[in-house]
Amino acid sequence: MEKKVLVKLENVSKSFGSVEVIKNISLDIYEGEFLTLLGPSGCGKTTILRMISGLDDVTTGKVYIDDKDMTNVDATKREVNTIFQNLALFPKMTTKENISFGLKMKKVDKAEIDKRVDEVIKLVKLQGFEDRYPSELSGGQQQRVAIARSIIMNPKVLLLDESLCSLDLKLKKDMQIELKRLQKKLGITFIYVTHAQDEALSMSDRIAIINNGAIEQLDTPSNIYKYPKTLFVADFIGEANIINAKVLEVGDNEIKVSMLQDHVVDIKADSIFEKNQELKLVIRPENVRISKNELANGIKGSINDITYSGDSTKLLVNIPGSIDIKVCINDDNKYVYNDEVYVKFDSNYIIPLRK
Amino acid sequence: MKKNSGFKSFFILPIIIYTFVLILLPIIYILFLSFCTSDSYGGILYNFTLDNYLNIFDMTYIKMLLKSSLIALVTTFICILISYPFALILRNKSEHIKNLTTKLIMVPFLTNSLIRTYGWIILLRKNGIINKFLTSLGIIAFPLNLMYNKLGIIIGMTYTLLPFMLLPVCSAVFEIDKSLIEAAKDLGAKPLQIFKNIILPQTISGVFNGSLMVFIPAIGYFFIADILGGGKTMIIGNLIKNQFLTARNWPFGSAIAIFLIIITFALVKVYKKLGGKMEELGGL
Repeated sequence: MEKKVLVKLENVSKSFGSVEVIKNISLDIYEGEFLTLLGPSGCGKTTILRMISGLDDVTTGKVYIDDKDMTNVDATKREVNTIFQNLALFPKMTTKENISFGLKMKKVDKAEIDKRVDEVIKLVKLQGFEDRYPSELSGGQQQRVAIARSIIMNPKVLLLDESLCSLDLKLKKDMQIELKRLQKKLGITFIYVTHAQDEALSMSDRIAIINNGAIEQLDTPSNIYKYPKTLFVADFIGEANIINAKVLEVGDNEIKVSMLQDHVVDIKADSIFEKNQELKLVIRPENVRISKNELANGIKGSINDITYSGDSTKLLVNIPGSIDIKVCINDDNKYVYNDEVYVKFDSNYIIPLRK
Repeated sequence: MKKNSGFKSFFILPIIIYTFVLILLPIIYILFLSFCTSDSYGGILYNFTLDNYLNIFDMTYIKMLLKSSLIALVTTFICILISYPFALILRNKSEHIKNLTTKLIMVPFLTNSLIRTYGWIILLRKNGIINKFLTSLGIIAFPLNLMYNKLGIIIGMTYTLLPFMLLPVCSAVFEIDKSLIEAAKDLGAKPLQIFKNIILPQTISGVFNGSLMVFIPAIGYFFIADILGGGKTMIIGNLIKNQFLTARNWPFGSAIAIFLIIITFALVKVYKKLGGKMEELGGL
């Protein structure tokens, strides 16, 4: 089934003064999907969100929501609502007044407002807190008020600006599950902005990695993790060994490269590389094989650092005259500091990237 | 701890002495005077009486009090009307412009307010700058009576007292988180609705503070009424001044002064009832 494009950004750029913060972005966001804009702070992800909500205007380009050109339509009139980073609850209003604010502004019938407020309060589980002021609520409850205040408007798209950042870890995990649940239930399109890759990976249908005002890669979480298209993505998402290499021979679907002091491997490569071209290889730590016994075509090194983190152990293997290789294993007390080990890269898991 | 408190009281002592000698003692003396009578030469007879207070409730004085209050009220209202748009416009400007503007508001305070009030004569009189400008442009045929009437007093009062409204309103308006206004916009609120529902509730205490700080002096600023009102419009401040300096009836003047203090405190009480916090008044 063809998915419907709900939000469309077409060659959108944004400049503040002479600084171009968004550089010619085009992005299709489908109905009902959970899309995350992920990137380091200052990359422009919040600006993209604000251009969709209408709180910032675009310098050039077009914004479509539900096939209608919204480029020059005021934020007030867009069927889009935002949950702000600091939540922006109205401090002098109770939970109920906060939640009903939008409908009151639209001059909706009072009985209708009361009915919908009750529904939404049940949905976000805020029963019993209707008459409290934001300052009398916990962080999680404030979060719920902010969510309720937005979803009561039945927006086509809900924009979330780093909304979970201020919460502690446990509450954050709970709210992540809660948000996913709500999104499934309401079928609203969520556009979520964050700099936390774990949030992005666990919650999203698709992730757009933003860097320097441009989209580096747009794909499903697992594809982004497994097949990063740029060095930035490889480095930003998860842990990665990034190794310098040089092309020795070019085959049909394969290239032969030399890395780590003349260690030669064959790797699959779709993109076109030339002979003698310098390139970077990306290998995830969990895809590095490690053994105390000699491995065929393995590289000798020694354990430089051990970090135990419960479900896994991270090792740093020093290759003499070269860089340290990050390795991630599941069993813990097999290795000790300074152990001599052999590491080997499975050619299926080596991702070649242009420099 | 003990040493620290000694250190503290050393620095607080001058303030305590200042307050006691220059504020509290005179008030006590005036309170004492208000129960005395004066002889026909302006001397004071120390015989206890309540007549001075009863005399205040003469129609002449009540009317004067009402007129003073009306002038003060109009002044306060105009100050609010100027301060809000000013603060809302300035709110979106850079920190640098905000600081500069706030400093510029304070600059006139460096000049004596009596002299500044005389300055207004040059602007407001029949052949003053404003009238000349308007007639030369042909907007008006004859010069307007901008002073020696209530209008002149209100202009002068507004000018002198505006900073007392401007500063608290500005600080309240600047404090509103930008994202609150954006959130309201996002939820479909139009500018007027944003003002009514978000800005007003959060700045009303600033307006209350400013109102007290404008209204109370506006009742008593006799020199503005003298200079720009041409002595034709008496406000309660003129009355007190005249009792002391012209009529030489210090006890009656004292009684009116005490009466004014009582009204002032009553106003502060009303303010407190309306939801303001005492700390915001600096412990008035």
